[in-house]
Amino acid sequence: MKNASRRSAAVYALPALAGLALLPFLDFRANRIVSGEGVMLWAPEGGSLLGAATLATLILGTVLIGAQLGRFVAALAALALLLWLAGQGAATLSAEAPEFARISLGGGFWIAAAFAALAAADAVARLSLGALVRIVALALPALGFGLALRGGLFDDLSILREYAANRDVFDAALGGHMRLVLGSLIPALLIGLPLGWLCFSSRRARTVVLPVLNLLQTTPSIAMFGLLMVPLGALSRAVPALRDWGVGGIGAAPAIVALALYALLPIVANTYAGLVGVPETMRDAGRGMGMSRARLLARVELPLAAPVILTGIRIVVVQNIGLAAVAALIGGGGFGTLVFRGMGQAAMDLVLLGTLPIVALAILASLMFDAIIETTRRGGAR
Amino acid sequence: MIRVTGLTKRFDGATAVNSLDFEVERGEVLALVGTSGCGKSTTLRMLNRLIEPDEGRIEIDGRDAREVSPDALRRGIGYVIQGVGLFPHWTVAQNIGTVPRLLRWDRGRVRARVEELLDLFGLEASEYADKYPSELSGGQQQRVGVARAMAAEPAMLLMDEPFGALDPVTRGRLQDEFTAIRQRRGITAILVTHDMDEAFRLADRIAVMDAGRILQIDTPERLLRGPREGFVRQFVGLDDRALRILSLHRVSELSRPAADAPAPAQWVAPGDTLREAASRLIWEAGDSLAVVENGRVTAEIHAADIWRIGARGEA
Amino acid sequence: MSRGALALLVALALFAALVLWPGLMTPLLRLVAEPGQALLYDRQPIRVLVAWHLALVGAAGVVASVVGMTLGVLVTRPRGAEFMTLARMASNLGQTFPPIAVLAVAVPLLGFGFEPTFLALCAYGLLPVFENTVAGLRGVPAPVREAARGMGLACSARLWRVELPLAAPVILTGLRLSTVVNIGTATIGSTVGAVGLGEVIIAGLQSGNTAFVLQGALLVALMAICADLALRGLERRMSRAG
Repeated sequence: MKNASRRSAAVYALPALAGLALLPFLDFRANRIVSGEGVMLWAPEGGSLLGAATLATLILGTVLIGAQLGRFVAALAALALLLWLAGQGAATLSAEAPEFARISLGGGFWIAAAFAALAAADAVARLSLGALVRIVALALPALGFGLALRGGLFDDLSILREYAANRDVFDAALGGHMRLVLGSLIPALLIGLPLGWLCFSSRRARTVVLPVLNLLQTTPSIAMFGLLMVPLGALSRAVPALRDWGVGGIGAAPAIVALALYALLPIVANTYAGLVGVPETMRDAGRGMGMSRARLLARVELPLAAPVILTGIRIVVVQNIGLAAVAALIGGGGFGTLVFRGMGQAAMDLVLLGTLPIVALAILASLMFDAIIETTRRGGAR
Repeated sequence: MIRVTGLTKRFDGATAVNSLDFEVERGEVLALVGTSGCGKSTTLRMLNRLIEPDEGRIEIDGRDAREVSPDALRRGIGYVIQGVGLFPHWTVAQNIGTVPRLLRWDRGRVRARVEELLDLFGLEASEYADKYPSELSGGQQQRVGVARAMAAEPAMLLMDEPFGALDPVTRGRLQDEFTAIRQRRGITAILVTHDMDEAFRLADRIAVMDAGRILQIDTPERLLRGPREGFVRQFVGLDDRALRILSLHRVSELSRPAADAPAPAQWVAPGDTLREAASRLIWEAGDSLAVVENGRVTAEIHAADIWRIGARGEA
Repeated sequence: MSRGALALLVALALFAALVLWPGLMTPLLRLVAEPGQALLYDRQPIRVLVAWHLALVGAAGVVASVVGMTLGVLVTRPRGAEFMTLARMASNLGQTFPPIAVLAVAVPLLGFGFEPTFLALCAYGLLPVFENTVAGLRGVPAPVREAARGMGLACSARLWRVELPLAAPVILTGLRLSTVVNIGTATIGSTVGAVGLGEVIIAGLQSGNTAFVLQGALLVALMAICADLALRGLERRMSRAG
């Protein structure tokens, strides 16, 4: 087992080292438009030789250390050092560069960071901690990163320059994104859960509802947004009062409706599957002891189906965090605004400024749901 | 007391249960036996109205079961289901307390009752009350299942293959425990099983069912001595009926006085069955066997007496 | 004819008709268009856009299935088992990356146009195929595997003659999910300059022409539905045999 996990640790370490060796650590450009020149990790303005050597040692440590906890710490330390070196390198470079120079993170950094993070996550997974401990183990480094970010360690990197220039837009995008995700989740739950129960209790309903939801799920997101623009646009023209509520062909309304429709299938299908999965003996026992139908549903069927239902909700939340980005195309707001604006201006840093929070939100949501699902399983399907 | 008259159930035109009549006295255990699909489980489920009968009448303590709402009826009848059916997300204590809580007993009373029942089934309350079913062995789960059915002191128990999923050793031990608890508490029960030996062991009377009808309803011994022609004969199994009859009787029923002495190498206890005594006698090729209690001979049992019990005509 | 096959036939016929004679849509498009606006997208023939769209999805689908299935087979072999945690984690993480993020990240590496979209489609289409290959192979009942071993089938024979055929319906489900998602992702690919039906929708959004949006949306939705129905039909056939 030790050898096995060592070999798979090498799978993270080798690409990380190779990435750092072959690809630039930082990317230096005289202004926003021109193409850049790469700065390698061991260059004096990059991480310097000392930094590079320490980093390589830490990364190798994730392979050589036998204990998973040690491996986790080594991977985290490597990640922290990577970030620190990047921040320092950017500061050094920008000190002697013209005002409009841009220093962005290079391919080497991204590859090394991604694999170090994977190595850390892998070690945590193998430690088989409880859900809460796992969250704390990941929250502490995240907190450290947040503090460094606030403290200005990365201020010279172009992505943060981009943030500084677009702070209002970013904040609005964050609010907008949350509104899209939560605004679609709540109605989807209110409709989806009862619909799932209906599918469970009536065969007729099932044969109608599930294929229709499948059809909705199949429709590509842009097409869905586009198709919804038509009826909602017509609605707002017919009932002008609705326009004051923000209902219209363009904007958040069609996006929220579309996201809610996408959310329905996983919620309904998993509610149905969860309820079907409750063993017949449970229902028999409950009814045989004189539980009313409502009580049986609330006390026995739903708690037993909860892990499956929550898995459906997890799918929905992660999926909609991603899909909400597309909503920017029809003026729905959210982080997609930054992504599409960045792509329009060929400004990669702006694209990243929109993309990274989306990915971070999605990971955060899945971690949170994993923890919740694990607690509902307690005692249950163990 | 339960009185069932003309109980009938049809599914899609096919008659699953055909005009049954039987009674169960207070403190009596009746076993419904038969092959799968003979209607025994359907009969049981009609008694607590999990299935509504098409025709017939069920009286419990003189009252028509239809006069009570199904939920109230079920809360007054203990139900041990096939495959245990403990709620996996509830602790042992919560499982046992299900019906008392439905009946709105106060907490202290529920807890006291749970502890009493765990004690009755030989499970240490402090150790087991807060465990989840998945942390128990199969035999322990089954005990909790029966305890749960008995929690609200129901007038009777309905048991559907209660020990069906257990290995033979655990099953035998639980059957003995059940008999012991019956003797202490007096349980009225209707038991469904396809296992004739289980019926012989647990029931006061046995109803052999086939194709939705009761073919014969009698005490175990009379069923062995005088089975009706056809299915009953086949199902009861006549090849070893002498031995089966012997297993219905205890050594204490036949023991004769004997002089006090230290226990010899081969002996039987007064609570052993005659079947065990017979087996030892054949093995030893002897005429009599010492009956030993607490290491001293208290009586003896004669082979001739045992053979007479096992022979045709005796009853 | 089964209901599924009938639905597929209707959807395919409708799709083909709308691609070959886009004019059929004009009465519908007129309802949503502002007066004076063009109704039908005419910068490129629809059929060319459809061909490119299909080529993009098809090529990426082939790459994604070959790589995804290979990886799935490898991690379920005894020798590859140690990489299971790794592969599943990477795949789980991959699923939290929205398609748009993959596209956005591919652009700086490959520039605008066909290539970044192709890369995003390959990467994103890989995950469902991989996940389902693993699930399908793991779902082969242990007694069946034991029986195959007991009869002396070699490793490769067990894989090709027993495990893969039994896992086929599940793997095919992965391929279907991958294809349907990719038809949508390819549509978004038009924002980075990939030629395809997304172009029609985006042109409509940019010029405020709802008729274009509707036309593009209908065609893309129909294409996805056809693919979904066709692959579902195939799944049903496979699982009947398996």
